[in-house]
Amino acid sequence: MEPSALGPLRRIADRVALVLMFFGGSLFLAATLLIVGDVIARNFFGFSTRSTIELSGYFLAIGISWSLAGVLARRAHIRVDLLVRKLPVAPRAVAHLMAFVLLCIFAGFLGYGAWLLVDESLMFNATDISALRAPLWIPQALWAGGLFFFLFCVLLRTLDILLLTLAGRFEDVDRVAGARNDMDEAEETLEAIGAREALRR
Amino acid sequence: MIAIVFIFGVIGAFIYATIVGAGPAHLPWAEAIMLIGLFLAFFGAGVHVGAALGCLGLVAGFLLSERPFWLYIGQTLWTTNTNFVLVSVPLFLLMGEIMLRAGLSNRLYSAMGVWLNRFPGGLLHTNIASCAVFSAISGSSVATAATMGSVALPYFRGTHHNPRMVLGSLAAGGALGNLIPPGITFIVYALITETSVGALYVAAIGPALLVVALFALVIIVHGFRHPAPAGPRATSAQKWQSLLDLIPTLLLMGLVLGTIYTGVATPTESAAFGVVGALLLGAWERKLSWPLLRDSLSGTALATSMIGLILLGAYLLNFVLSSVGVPQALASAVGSLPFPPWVLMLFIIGFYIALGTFMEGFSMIVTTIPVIFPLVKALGYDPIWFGVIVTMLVEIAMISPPDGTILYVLQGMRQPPGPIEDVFVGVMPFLAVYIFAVFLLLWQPGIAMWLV
Repeated sequence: MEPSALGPLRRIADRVALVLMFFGGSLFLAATLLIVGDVIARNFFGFSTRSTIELSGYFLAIGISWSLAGVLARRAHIRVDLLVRKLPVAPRAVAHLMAFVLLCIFAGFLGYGAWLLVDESLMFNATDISALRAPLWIPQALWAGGLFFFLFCVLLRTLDILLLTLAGRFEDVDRVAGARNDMDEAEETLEAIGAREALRR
Repeated sequence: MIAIVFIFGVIGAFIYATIVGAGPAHLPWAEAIMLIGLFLAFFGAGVHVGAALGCLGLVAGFLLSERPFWLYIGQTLWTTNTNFVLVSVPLFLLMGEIMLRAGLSNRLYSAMGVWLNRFPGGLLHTNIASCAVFSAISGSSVATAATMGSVALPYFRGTHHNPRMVLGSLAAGGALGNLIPPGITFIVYALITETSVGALYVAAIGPALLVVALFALVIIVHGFRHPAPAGPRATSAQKWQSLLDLIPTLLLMGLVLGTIYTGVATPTESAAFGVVGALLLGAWERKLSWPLLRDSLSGTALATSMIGLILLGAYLLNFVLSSVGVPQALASAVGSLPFPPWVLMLFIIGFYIALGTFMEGFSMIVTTIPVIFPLVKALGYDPIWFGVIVTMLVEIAMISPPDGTILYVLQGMRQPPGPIEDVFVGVMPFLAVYIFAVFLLLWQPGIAMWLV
């Protein structure tokens, strides 16, 4: 289990993030069924929802934004940490902290941009061009919600890293902030095919 | 290190060209050099790739743009995130996840072995061939190498095969993952450059066949130089059984690639059919279960969102850069350099090989293509052809010592353990022919373009 200076708070957020990531993935299955259903209906039964392109696009955007926090919880967001890994633990902890502060800024701007977008769609009562004439604020708000939750999780993790750094727990900082690497991806692949013992680290 | 030297070399060439008066002087040099410096600092300090690109975009925006660019961020990101072509990325990933968990890799390998083990080089051919088939299902090179490596390595334990060749051929096979359609790299390249995914997949056929043939040639030469007792001759019953084992995989491959190539379906639609096909295959194998579905969906969400954060950052950066006209300015600056196009193309190829030694392939493409692509077009090269070249370079980067990620994946799996140099030496001949294939493609673009 990952160490934390915030007690159970961050772990609960991580747990929620992983559940949300599963729902994000389920949206991709929903998009699959929608697309396949529409192609079959179009070719064999002569009708179409004429909203598949828009709806599956919404599923994609929402699926991505809902999963961002889960990827963070799994420490899987990609970093080029070749140089960082070669630093001694204390400066490395500072580098981790800096990286997370920049991630906060970026996530903040994403949330802000999404907020402006939803606000504008509400103001103009904007609808999409599909057959549904769906009000755009609904998918956009779901998308923005994922980005807000991501921002919340990033802030929480950054705070955690800050506290751990101040407490001098540099090894723990590494375990909270350090990136998952390609070995981990390979390990997960092998776990998926049930050949876990094949990988010797 | 090579990369940094290279980048400074390119900057140096630019400055030289400006001094001798060949380049246009209207580029904002101070800002440009500051941004490049910031870019290097961010990546050196290990900032998340998405955040590095996004923050760079914000800095560039506040520095160069006179408009309130932040008002348009939401709209830009929303439009690009809901793109129907991009929907194919999670769907191809989901198909791969389900197939991986449905346990077809072992059967695929042994079925291929029955047909290939009597050629000179024996079972080594099976490594390449089964990786090639697996690549047609999976879009990830690391996953291809890990999966086929875990299946293949036990077969070689206690045989006369040189472990270097075994590891080298598996690494080479893994480096086919993205080149053989359907690869994720092509989809993202197509999105950024507004080219057709279908055309890229068609253009990849020739080069993919070329690389596979060159790999087979390496193994045959090795087989003649180190003759070994041929494997046991398979009975015709075994041969028929192996064909039966291959049929489901080949059917799914045919379904996905066939619908794309014949134009019956868009890549997104055939990806959706691929997912349904993989589910049916899983049900047929009696492997379909709730844990399988749950893990596949979570795994897909993870991989998609990893890519997603980088894309969000890249789109933000691209939006700012193109709104102030940086790529266009750069393209015209390079176009006026006193070098012939092929010299610059060699520069670009060298740049990617250098960058690839330390940067993960996907981030590399997303980061560089928006700036490099207008330049390539200005030089008069074909966008589809260049997409194939870039994908090959990304694959080469993954098997280049000393940092190629696939090499370490295999090193971590081998039993009994040995020095990493075995993998380095083993992959060398394959690496050499892969690079040779790139130059062949540079010399004869027709290898990719004859079908397009």
